[in-house]
Amino acid sequence: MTGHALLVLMVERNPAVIDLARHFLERYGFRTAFAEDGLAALSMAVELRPDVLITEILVPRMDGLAVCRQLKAHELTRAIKVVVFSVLHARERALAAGADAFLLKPVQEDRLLETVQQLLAIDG
Amino acid sequence: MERVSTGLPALDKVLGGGFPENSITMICGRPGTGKSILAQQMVFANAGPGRRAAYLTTLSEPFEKTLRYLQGISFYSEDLLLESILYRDLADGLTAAGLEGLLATVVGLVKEERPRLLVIDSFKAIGDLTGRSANYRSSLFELARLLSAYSCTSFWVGEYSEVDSGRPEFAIADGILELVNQKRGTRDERYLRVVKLRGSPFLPGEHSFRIGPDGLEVFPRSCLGATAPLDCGEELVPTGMTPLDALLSGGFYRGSNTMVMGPSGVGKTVLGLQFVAEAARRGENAVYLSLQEHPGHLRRTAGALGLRLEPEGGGQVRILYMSPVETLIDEVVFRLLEAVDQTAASHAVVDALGELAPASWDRSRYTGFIYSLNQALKARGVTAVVNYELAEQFRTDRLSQDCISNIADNVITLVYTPGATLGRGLRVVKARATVHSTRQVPFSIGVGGLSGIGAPDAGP
Repeated sequence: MTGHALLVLMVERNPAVIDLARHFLERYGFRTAFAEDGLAALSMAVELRPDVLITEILVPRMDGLAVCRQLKAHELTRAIKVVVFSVLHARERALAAGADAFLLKPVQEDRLLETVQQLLAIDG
Repeated sequence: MERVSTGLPALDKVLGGGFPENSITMICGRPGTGKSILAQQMVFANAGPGRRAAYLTTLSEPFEKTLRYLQGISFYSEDLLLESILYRDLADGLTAAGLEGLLATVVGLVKEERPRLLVIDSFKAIGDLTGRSANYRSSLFELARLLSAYSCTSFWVGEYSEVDSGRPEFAIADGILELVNQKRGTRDERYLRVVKLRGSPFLPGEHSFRIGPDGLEVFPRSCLGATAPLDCGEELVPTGMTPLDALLSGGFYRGSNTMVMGPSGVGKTVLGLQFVAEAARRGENAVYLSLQEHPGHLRRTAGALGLRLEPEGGGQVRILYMSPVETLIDEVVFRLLEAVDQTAASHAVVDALGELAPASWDRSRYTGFIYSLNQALKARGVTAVVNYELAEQFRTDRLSQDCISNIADNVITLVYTPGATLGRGLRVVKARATVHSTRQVPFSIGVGGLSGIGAPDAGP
């Protein structure tokens, strides 16, 4: 299946995760952008208006949960779908912060794509 | 001097109360020795509201694996991690920016986050990558100065071995803690050793530890510490066997230790059960350390003989079972004394001491260990019976083959007596400060335990 040219913004510091996510997402037709810390992610979210933001919790300057809360608190960014994608077993905490979905690392291509597609209501 | 607790009371004891505050300690050891778990255990023990802690990884275990494994250990707390602990991967910065870049990052983190406790894991990787830099030593000194200035207790973790001891970080560090996983025959034994701790006393030597679901559990070396009080009381404690008390002129001195020696099946365990049942009957607590039989078996034996280990309105008997397989000799002492302290026990039985011999890879430590155990029990005023199995069925002329009977205050032998019907005989070989008979007297085992103990004859 081929996705639309939708934009996924990922907040992540691990180059290996970035490399894999870019590979999988772009192969399915998504555009990708990456931020290394929470504050950079917030400004990029306002500027780029991604369709989906995927964030690790443990990122510098502002953690992923705070990023999620900020996005959901503001009219301008509320519509951005947020996936918390973390090494921490923090599903409840992520959902409480307003995340639309939670995924546990490591990267599993099928689950990552399926989650993004479901959030964007893309048909198979 | 203020101390930073490790979160492990036993390790704090080794360190004289914990690591000195604001010190720099190197945690050294080969891969798999438990360095990172210990460091993280300390991070979680010290983090809390208003007390930030930081764990910085460099080029050892991938950051995400560190966190993944961490979540399976009981001391992990998501609340603490998200609210009071900074986990940060510095690997990319180290690779890209070198030593200066890394130090700048650490300095920035310390200034911004103000952690009271900081771990850098692996610190050795920094030296491996940048150690040839001309300013390596001066950069380390600058880092050490910064950490001291910001009131930060830090730990530099690394896979250092003996050959690395010339590295500048060893000279800069205030403390060095070495973790070892040593092959002993077919088993592995872990121990830790304080190599250096500036300005602080510590317990020297090898201290055993295990790694389990709760992290590290340390058992300080038992050949140290407690010394029995010099003022010995005159109180005699009944043994639960009236004829034996008669042989001993009233019983054991309170706080004494008695070694009961004899072959398998002769009645040592029954004597021990009688001893603790009598203590409970009088309202005193006791610990029965079994290195042979499971608690269920012991309770069944006691029940069959009519010995009540939990008499109504009386004291309690805690049966502490430890498998003799893979036993750490220091752990046995630790568990026994822990149980004694928890129950305020005044009586204890060790059944049987010989099971610990294989656990002591250093034979010279075995007698030291037994002496130390006795002293620790005496210091608590505990009256102890220690069973020891002899190979000979009928002879008792090799009591000191392990050089241990001389440590005991009292020595009682139980033997089989040959004949058409196998009999049993009891002899008080030694009873310090007691007028006693050394005649061997017959006994049998029945309801009530050791019974039919013959009366002492006219003289020794």
